[in-house]
Amino acid sequence: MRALRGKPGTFAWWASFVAHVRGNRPFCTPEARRVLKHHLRASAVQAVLKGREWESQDPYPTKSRHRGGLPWWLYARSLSLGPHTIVRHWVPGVVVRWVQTETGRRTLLVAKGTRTHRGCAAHMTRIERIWALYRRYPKSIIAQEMLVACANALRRRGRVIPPMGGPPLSLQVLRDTRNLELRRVLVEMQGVELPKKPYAEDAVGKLYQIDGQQALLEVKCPSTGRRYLLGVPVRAPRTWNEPGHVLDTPSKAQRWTLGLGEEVQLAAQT
Amino acid sequence: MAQRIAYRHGDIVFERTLAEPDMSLSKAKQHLVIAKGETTGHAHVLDGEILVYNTVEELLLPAGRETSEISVVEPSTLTHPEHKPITLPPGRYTVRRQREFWGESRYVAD
Repeated sequence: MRALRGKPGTFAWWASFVAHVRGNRPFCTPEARRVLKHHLRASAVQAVLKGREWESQDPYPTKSRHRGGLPWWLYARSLSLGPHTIVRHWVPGVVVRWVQTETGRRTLLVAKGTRTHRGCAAHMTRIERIWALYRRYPKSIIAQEMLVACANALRRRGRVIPPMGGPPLSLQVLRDTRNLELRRVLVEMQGVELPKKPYAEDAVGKLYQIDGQQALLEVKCPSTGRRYLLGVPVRAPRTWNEPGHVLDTPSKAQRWTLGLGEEVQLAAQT
Repeated sequence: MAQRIAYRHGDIVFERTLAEPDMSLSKAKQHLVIAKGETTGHAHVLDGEILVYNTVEELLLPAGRETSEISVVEPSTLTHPEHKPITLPPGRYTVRRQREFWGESRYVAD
């Protein structure tokens, strides 16, 4: 058994005890400590020990009493983001709900005040709220995850993601948005400044030249049909294992992003 | 020497370098999480008989680690909630993320 920290009954002891029960590292950030201290109760820990709450199949434990008094981060073993991440990147105006999906129970982070509908991905009709939350906290992983989940839910249901207005995204924003999923959703919602015509086009996608060094590759995912924008060089830099060459077609540019030489055969891609 | 072939699964590429698995890799896995999506939580998962380095714990490619080596001993299936499954034949593989270029080369995140 992992060593417990501090004297029995103190906050440090309870925190390390809960961390042990959950099989995670101890909570450590000051914010996590504050929140945990506020919510931690002996009865909740006992419930975890007895395993009652872990086995609950109730997909909608939105109220504390449905979770046997447990705070949500003790209850949520199926969080797509770990509880540590959520606590560390917490933003105000977000609540946690659970929905049952085809692949199992899924945690949903929704904007406060959003109505959750039974059996569906909840907040999809309120993307404006999530957009506002994202605009306020653009660097929050939680806000980013909510925006992507909401956009994907809309798409799954065949709905169009509404344009959010404002000027189209600049290339600088594309460059700064490292996460491809988030970048795709932002482009769908706001549009992007691109040259009018691609300078090369084939079955893989389109290639736009930005300047003498930078180009932009637009490709379609073969599985989901989603369109992604990737930055590529006009001339692939020469490295120890790759000869430099000009990327003048989308196919060549895509092979460069995958790090595949011309002698490598792409047997399957999904 | 076997022909060099590669398999692409979303933003993850498996390039087969040799047809024979490297049996010197001692850590065996039946269920290997290759990489996990940051915003979606979806993971690329390889199920089968796989050998990895001892340093690999839960994720083969955690944040900050962009390439790795694995050996597939028996045909193994690669799955992801948003991509169709791919079966990898036995052999040694270099696994890496897709990359892009913005003034300098960098690996993508999803």
